[in-house]
Amino acid sequence: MEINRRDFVKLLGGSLIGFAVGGVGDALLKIPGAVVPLLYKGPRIETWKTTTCMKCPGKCGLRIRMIDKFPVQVFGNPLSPLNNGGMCPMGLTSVGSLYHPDRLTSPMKKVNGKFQEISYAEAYGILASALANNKGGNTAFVAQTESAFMADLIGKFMSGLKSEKVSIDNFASNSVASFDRISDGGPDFIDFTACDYIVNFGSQLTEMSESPLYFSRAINDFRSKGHEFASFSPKLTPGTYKANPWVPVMPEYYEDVALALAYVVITDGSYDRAFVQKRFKDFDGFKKLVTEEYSPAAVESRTGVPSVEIVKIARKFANASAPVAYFDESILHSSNGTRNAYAVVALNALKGFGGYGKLKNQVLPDPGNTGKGVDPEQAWNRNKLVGDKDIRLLMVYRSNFVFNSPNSEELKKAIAGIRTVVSFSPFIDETSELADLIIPDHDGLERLDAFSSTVTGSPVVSMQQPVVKPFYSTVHTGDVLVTLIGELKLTKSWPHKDYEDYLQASLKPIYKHGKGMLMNQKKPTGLEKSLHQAGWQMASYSSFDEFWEQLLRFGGWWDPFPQVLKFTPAISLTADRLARQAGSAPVNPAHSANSLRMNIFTRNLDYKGNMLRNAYLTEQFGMGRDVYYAMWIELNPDTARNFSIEDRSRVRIKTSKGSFEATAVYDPSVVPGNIDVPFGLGHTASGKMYGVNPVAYSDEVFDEETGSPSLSQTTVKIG
Amino acid sequence: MPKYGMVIDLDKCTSCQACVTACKVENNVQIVSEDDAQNGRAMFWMKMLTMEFDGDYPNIRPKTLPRNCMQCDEPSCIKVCPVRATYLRDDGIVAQIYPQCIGCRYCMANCPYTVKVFNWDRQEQPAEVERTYNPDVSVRPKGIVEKCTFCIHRLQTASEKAKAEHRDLEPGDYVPACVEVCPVDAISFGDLDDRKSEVLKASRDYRAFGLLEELGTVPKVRYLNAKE
Ligand code: SF4
Ligand code: SF4
Ligand code: SF4
Repeated sequence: MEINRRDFVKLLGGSLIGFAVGGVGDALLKIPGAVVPLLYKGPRIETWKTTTCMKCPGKCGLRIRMIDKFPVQVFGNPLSPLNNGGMCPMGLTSVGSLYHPDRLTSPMKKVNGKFQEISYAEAYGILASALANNKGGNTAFVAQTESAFMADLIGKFMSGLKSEKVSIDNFASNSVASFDRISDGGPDFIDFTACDYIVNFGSQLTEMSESPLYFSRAINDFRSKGHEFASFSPKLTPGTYKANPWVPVMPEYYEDVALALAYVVITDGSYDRAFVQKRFKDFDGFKKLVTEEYSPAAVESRTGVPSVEIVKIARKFANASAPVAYFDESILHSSNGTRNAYAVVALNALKGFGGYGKLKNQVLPDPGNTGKGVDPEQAWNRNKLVGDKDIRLLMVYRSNFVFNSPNSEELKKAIAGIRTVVSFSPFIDETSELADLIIPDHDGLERLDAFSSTVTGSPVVSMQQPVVKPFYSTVHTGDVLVTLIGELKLTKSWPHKDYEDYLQASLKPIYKHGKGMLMNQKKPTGLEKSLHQAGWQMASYSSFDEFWEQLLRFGGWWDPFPQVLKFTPAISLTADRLARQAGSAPVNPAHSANSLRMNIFTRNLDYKGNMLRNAYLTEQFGMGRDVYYAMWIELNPDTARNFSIEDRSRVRIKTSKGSFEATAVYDPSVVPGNIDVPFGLGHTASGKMYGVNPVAYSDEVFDEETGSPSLSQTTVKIG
Repeated sequence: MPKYGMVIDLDKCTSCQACVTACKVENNVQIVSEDDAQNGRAMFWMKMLTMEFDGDYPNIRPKTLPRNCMQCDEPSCIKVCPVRATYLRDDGIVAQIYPQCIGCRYCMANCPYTVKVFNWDRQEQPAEVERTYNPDVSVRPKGIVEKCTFCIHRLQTASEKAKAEHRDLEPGDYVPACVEVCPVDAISFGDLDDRKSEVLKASRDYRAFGLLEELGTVPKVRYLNAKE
């Protein structure tokens, strides 16, 4: 890009700065504590606004209770088809971040190792000069967002810069990434109207998934119809309490177990021959591999999973009319994560993916395909940062990957070697503290965005809207990117002036086709259903402006009459993609007389390190164990006794990276030989540090294909 | 006069703890200091308990339940209060009169369900917590005993609204916070004296049981066992 740096800075500075000025809300709010008197002196008028939660991949509709125009409480939107009015601990306390005294209130530049406030002119100047030096490939972008619209925009920005170094951490897209590699995309949803058996591989469906609250209801309904779901996972977490059976297995063995199930289905002859013939490329090679190497007995000897259990579950799977073998992003957290996923995909193929569904004619960005049209190389991940000497500018949007990666030290070194690191984090966290420049993003209650979802079997768009004007001098990162794309002429024609404009254009197809309904009633009435059959649409708006106003007011849109297809992907899974490569046997921490395996588990109080600074969640984190503001581990009493560890005694856990102290809590459901360690504590970036981050003590084991860190392949000693 | 009661269906409950959080924020329940929390003084009106484990590994499941004040019809706590700061209302709610409480903690000691909590101290709350207080609920000072009130402030608001609209309180007008947020509708709530109410039906289900019923406390919070 040939642009004179000074002109460029001027140009960009001018067009970007507008966003900052509008943003400085009531100057009063800059004074700490100023909100309180405002709140309690007002006439105490209560109002409500709808928006969408961005604390996890769930996209729940929210109703914000405002007193004198200030948000005080969060409840669920009963008209959202995703959460149906339900809430989770993270969503319920999400209003806290708006008022948090640690929020960054203006751009910050690092000077001599310390951050200091700077003006927007200076901030954009730094960003502009870094971009002016861009040559394709020396800008990298790491983002965490559940918004397919935001992800798409980042993709457009990066493809305009001719860089493929984009890593977008998005739950839906991570969950179908393995499908994308071997077929033409993943399923959109479990078809609960047909599905009659689920075998789950490690997903915490009701705790941390594409929609924990939708799945909580769906699984209860599923069970109440008399259906069963079996679950393979390394820990009995609340999401598996209702599984029948729960089969403990470590993640690196999902592959073996799934293929052993396939073995039974194939040798019983109970697979869908027509489907595999038509849609499973090299089925014979697959069959040969499975029958030679994955008999239940062989798998039992490798993994310890009883072959009787495998046979029982396999037959239930085979006899079901529309079974699902389920997995999501969590399956990737193992040295062979992607191969695990392939094995489960293959298992599904044997029954023609009977319990899955696909939507026809989706007009929205596919929540599972963040790279649409730009194809950022998904495999360019956090770890590729290490060893890439060409990167001169790293941009980070809302991702705390340093906290989430076991190789944080390496990452820190790599980041230190990058000339300019720009973060859009609203807080100082373990990643943004490494930046040279922070341009803080708005809080969730100050932002505009849209989240699309297909988990329920209907296309849903859940709207996030600014329920208050930005309190501080923060930005919408989307505005910055929209402006950069335009000013740098990164695409041929770019008519958008800001993120709202871009979003409106992205959502226009919904207005145009006129289908579906706003979230203004629970579901269509009987009359509306019959009218719909006669060709009538429910749309309550006559212009786009009206549509947009109502979309925000009601919190979203969905189509109760979706056109649903069977999910029948063509699978191109040659046996060599499944077979273990010589020398890449799963990393299997030795169980010996004096060592144990550390299994890190997640809970619905933290999503990828976001519990930082949430006072309620931090207090509640160890409530179930009566351990507060401190670390604990869970272990089976039998294991504990072998190590002479008493219940609730203090122990020291040693890994190759160091050691930490914790309270040992007996739990007879923990896999013998394991210690289960909760993830969520141990933030070091600022504020007070409670407990430790077990990921920082883990061995550096990653999924070979995607680089997702393994959470359960570290050997520890305990004493 | 209605008699309010609650039934928690353990077959539906996913142990998500949303009810715990909702109660805490709805009722401005204090976040105590770290030291106090570590000394067993953390304050939750609704708490997730693991009672015991059923079965043997790996066919093992914890018995978990959300536990709040049982709103006993024969409350042992009120009998020992020397100043009548806790009493049984006509509508069945076991209430606390904060200004009257002298902090003797007899009621705490006499509650077989250990649901009452004491403000050992008044810790300065994090700024973002203070700024999001629910203005409908008073903040309790040091030296006061408190517990689940069945979100009695919501009853008051609902009654005032019904009155303003010249009508009687209807089922569904008064919904406690934990009931409202539960993602799987595991908690039913309402008038146990209303023959048509869901909560009455649930409380008479074959799976229904009360905690420590043998003590004669007549808990109006009941549970439904998980289905086999
Ligand atoms: S489940 Fe996820 S999206 Fe829903 S309220 Fe909780 S954090 Fe928010
Ligand atoms: S909110 Fe509902 S599902 Fe969650 S723990 Fe409470 S009762 Fe159970
Ligand atoms: S009824 Fe209200 S006070 Fe009682 S546990 Fe539920 S939320 Fe808490």
